[in-house]
Amino acid sequence: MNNITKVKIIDKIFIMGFIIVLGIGFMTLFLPAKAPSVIENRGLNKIDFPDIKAFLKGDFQDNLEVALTDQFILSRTIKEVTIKATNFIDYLPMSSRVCQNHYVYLDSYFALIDCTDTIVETPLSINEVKENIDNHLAYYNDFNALADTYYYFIPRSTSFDFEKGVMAFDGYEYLKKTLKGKYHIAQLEVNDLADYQKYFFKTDHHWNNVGAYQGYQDIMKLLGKEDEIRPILSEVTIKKNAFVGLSARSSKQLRRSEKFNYYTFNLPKFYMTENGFPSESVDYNYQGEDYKYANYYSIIYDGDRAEFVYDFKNPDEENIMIFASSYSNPINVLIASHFNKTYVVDARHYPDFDYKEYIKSNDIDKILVLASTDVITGEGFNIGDDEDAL
Amino acid sequence: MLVIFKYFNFLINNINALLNLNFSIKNIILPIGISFYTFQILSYVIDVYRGKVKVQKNIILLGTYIALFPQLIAGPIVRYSTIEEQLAHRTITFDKFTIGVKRFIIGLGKKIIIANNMAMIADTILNSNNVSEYSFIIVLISLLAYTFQIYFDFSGYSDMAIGLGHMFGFDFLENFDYPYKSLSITEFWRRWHISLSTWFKDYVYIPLGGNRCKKVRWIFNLFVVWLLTGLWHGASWNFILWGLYYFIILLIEKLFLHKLLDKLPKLLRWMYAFILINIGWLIFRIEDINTLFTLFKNIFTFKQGNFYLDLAHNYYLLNYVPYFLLAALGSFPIFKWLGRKLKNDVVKTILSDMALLIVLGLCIVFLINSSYNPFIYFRF
Repeated sequence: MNNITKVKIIDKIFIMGFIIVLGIGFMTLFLPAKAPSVIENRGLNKIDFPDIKAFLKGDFQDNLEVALTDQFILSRTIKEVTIKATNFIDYLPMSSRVCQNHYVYLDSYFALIDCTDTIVETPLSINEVKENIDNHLAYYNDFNALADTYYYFIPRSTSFDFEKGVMAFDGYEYLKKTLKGKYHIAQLEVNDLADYQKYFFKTDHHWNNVGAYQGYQDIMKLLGKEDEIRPILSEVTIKKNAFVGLSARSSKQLRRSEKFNYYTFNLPKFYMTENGFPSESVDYNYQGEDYKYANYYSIIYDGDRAEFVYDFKNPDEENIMIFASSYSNPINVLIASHFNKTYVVDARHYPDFDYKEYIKSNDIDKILVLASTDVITGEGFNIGDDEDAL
Repeated sequence: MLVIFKYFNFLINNINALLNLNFSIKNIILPIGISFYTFQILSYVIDVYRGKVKVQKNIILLGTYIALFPQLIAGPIVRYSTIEEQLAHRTITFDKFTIGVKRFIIGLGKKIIIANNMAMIADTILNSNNVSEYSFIIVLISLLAYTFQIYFDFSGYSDMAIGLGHMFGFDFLENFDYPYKSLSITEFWRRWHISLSTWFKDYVYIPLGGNRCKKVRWIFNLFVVWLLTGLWHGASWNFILWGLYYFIILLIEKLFLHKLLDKLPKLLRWMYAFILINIGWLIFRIEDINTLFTLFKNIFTFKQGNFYLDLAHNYYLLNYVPYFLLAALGSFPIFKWLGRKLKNDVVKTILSDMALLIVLGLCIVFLINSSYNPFIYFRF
């Protein structure tokens, strides 16, 4: 066999390899769609049935591109392995740094506070969000007129510029200055990075069990119920897997993790509905998940839903509406245990939320707005799809 | 057609600004690849007029030439004369198909592995709202990243187009020939976007009289060509500035600098050309004139930032060092040189085929990773 023949055979093998790769991609079109990705905390894009209208608009092609990368064989493993390999390289320069509390930008939105292992979001400026806040203020002022309204401000990391040691956006002062009518307001006291680290996760944008319990106590004082504060029964640590929060996952820092602790409480019996259907109550005997990257914040405290209703059958107590975001999840049931019926509404998921009608028809006496930075600076209602939040 | 779709808004905006008027502007959507296929059609019409090619009476074949998808949106600009014969009579052989596949993978690798990663650096820094705070070193790093990004992006697309062409039996002409190894700007433009520069030479410069005329006329001819070259790249003042920047450099080179350059060592000549090319890309990249001047100020005043702080802010720059090295290697014909060193065709084919399959695998990995997008309510 001469060299020319050998080269031709090698090239034939090469073309076969190329065709196999293309074939795998083609097969992806016909394989059953994969389940949601836990690591990405989202449902994977599925390949749509071809549709002429979508094709002419280009939607079909866009979807096909995203779906192919999502559904390609071993795509989830490929993502995890390559991100971890990159993280390994990251650690080399990171480990030899002088600690000066700098922001080490991980991407456009997330930064690591140098040498602390705390991932935060980059600071907001009031100009970026003023329009959104003013939109929210319109119905907040309605709340003040409709019921006895309480605001509890939770400063998320976007409120701070930890590098300069100043507040980037003081939502609490902004609300106090601009809210009209009669209302009550308090905030979670976070004055510096040390406070932030005490109350919030290192790898997730949410508050941890310490922060949430502090919030619960502050809210009880705000509601004039400080004598009724429920004591912690025990603190449980999930041992099966370390918690890799959404900030870490979003910024591709999969090697960063922390312990997930939660408190248990003695609660009276209650009934609960989720989006109008009977639901299981929060499982305080939770013992862990079998998979890595489980979103424990969502699993233990329940995910975001348009509406949860807690009924503690306390006819002597009032009804309250918690105007909520995911920050309220750890304390919804605790607050609810001091009331008759508690309506937790997450307006991001609630289509066409008519709050006037809702307050009236549910006989709501009090409104608690859990005004975390993202709630008062976000675009507002109907921005999410219930099924998207795992 | 090109004026309406591409330059109308630019013209109206400038007329409004100049005459303090307020003409309303229609939202004209720019068809993808319009600059490329307009020039292809023009070349066909002009060549028919000049009698260089015959009129194509078969609408399918003419349509195939105009809308040939491999090079429709990103070039190269294929002249009708190049593929006139191939449109009607072309052969698809296994060898040609294999060459096409290999060329396509090289282009895909250039785009996905190098250009996209260089874009991460260039975009992060050059799109930042506080570019004025960056030290000159950080600006230079981002500029170098952009220099590599634009070459590997554009030449990658050209490679993919040429490769696809081969697969379908066409032979398109080369569009890039290692432009960053040039020792002068004149040489750079012989190696960069060859199909465009030869188009302007054949259809604008020579019809205007080329260099066979009085010096003033010759300078005017050069000016027109580079003004149009700038405008072809986009309807914005920075592109015009970019075109005129090259007009001035090429004029100086042709008038006297070329003779001086020839006396310098090769390394100095390369540095001269590469620095000017980089400056050119900064003008090309930054549409806002104020930002452009700020960046020039940072560079030429050697703005001293806190280098440690800059790196801390952008520590992930270090992750991109391998891509910079790969880009630097790929900018020179090193792999071609290695290929020539290997005398055994069988070993050469095994190594190159394995390397290409690895590149293909890496491209898939990079593409899959690009869809990593955790769901989070974030600044909603």
